[in-house]
Amino acid sequence: MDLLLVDDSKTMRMLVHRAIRQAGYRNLTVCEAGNGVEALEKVRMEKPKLILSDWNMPEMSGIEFLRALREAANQTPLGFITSESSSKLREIAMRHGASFLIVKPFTTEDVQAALDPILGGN
Amino acid sequence: MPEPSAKNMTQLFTELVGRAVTFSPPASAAPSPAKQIYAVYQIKPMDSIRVIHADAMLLASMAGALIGLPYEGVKERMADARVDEGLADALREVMNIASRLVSIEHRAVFKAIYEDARMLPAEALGVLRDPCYASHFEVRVDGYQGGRFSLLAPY
Repeated sequence: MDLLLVDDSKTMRMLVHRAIRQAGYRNLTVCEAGNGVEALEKVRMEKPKLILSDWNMPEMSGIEFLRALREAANQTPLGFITSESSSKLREIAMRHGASFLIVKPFTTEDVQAALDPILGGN
Repeated sequence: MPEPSAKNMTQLFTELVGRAVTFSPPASAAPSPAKQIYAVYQIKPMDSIRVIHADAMLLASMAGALIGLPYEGVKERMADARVDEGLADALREVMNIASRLVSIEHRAVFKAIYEDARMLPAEALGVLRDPCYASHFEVRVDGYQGGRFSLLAPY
């Protein structure tokens, strides 16, 4: 599994998936989760190379998911896709080990710029 | 409260839905007679509440444009007694992303949308009934239905 997409909105999962394809990553294998709890299980089962996660989600927020991941000694790169863009939120994300933060609404170029350094281009 | 400008709103929603969305001051101050949808936001760290209310067809149009649903399809789905889950989910995402402009100074967290004002939490209902600050816009969406969009705050 290449990429795990975590968002409680089906619409946003569809839009991110589309942007990933438009960024040239057409052959990536992608699995999805609707919240952090589900995502932890998918990480264990699917072992993705990269995780893209929403910040505000029911059950377990994006930052709680990242904390749980790191506490389990899992260092899979994780980037947030969020509508919030404050410097404080960005600082919290990076302090907990996030690789990047993409702000909604995003462009294909935003997604490509975030993915290329981790997935090595397409 | 620092106002979100029509220019900023135009830019955000145009980028979001991928077609021209134009926010401008309304021609009239009269309330919109159209069915409304209400979105509630929590402002951090104060935990105060802000409310957006807008014409249901306007928000459905932006949601439809976001997921590539043509205007005819939006109209059909909005005519049904219960809006289908795909359009409702897209509508929630539009309002979630709108949180970027709900507060310019602080962090706004989207909480929920409501189709009936009577279902709003008490604090949000208070803001709706007696806002200290209100910013109104007339919105056009290329190829879809436009309408009225308002942001209300308690101070």
